[in-house]
Amino acid sequence: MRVSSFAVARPAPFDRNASSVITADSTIYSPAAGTVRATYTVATGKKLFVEVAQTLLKMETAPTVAGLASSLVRVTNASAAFLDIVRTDVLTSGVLTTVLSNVTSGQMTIYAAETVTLITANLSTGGTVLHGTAFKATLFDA
Amino acid sequence: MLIRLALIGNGTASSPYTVDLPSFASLVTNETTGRAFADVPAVDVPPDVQAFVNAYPTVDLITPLPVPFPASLANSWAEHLARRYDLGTARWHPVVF
Repeated sequence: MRVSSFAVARPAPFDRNASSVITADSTIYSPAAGTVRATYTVATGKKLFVEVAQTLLKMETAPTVAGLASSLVRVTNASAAFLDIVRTDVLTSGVLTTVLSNVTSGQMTIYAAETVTLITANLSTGGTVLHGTAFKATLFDA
Repeated sequence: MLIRLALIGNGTASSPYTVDLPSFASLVTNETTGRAFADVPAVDVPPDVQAFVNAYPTVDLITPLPVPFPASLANSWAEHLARRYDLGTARWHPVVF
């Protein structure tokens, strides 16, 4: 039986020239204002499924003056509108032996020219914080 | 490839410190000198910019480059990124610093 090309279903996203994208940062930082540690922008003709994104925080050494410490994963579009899809914050002058973590639920589709960004911030004076930010995604032909 | 770039942003929630590139990883910054190391995908860096980076290796976030990054290379890089990410206009203007 001859089957025309019109009867062929379009391949699933993971069969459309797909590749895995893993971007991660896990580092003990001294206090610093909001800093972008990594970005990934979707190129033309592609889309990106963000399968999981994760953030974590651990107070390594105590600050002298406590300020908010944050780890977050942000999605920004070409118009600079943004959404923090996962985030962990802590405000303490002590040392936390517990790792505070958070993880996304659901699967976001990131379109061409949109960007996934890993950001850390620590507005304390003194002390150090372990910041973890990461995401795993699949890039495929749009 | 690792490249030392000019830092942008002011460290606020709406304008965090970063470099003017669509994709990179492992940013290490020095807000005082305005410089940062970033790991940039080689496919995002045109050959003429790669040649400049290789010609003037940097070992810290303090020492200035012996020669400024030429405007012609900056334009070449911005156009390369605009083509690759196809936004019609050059949205990113990274500068080796």
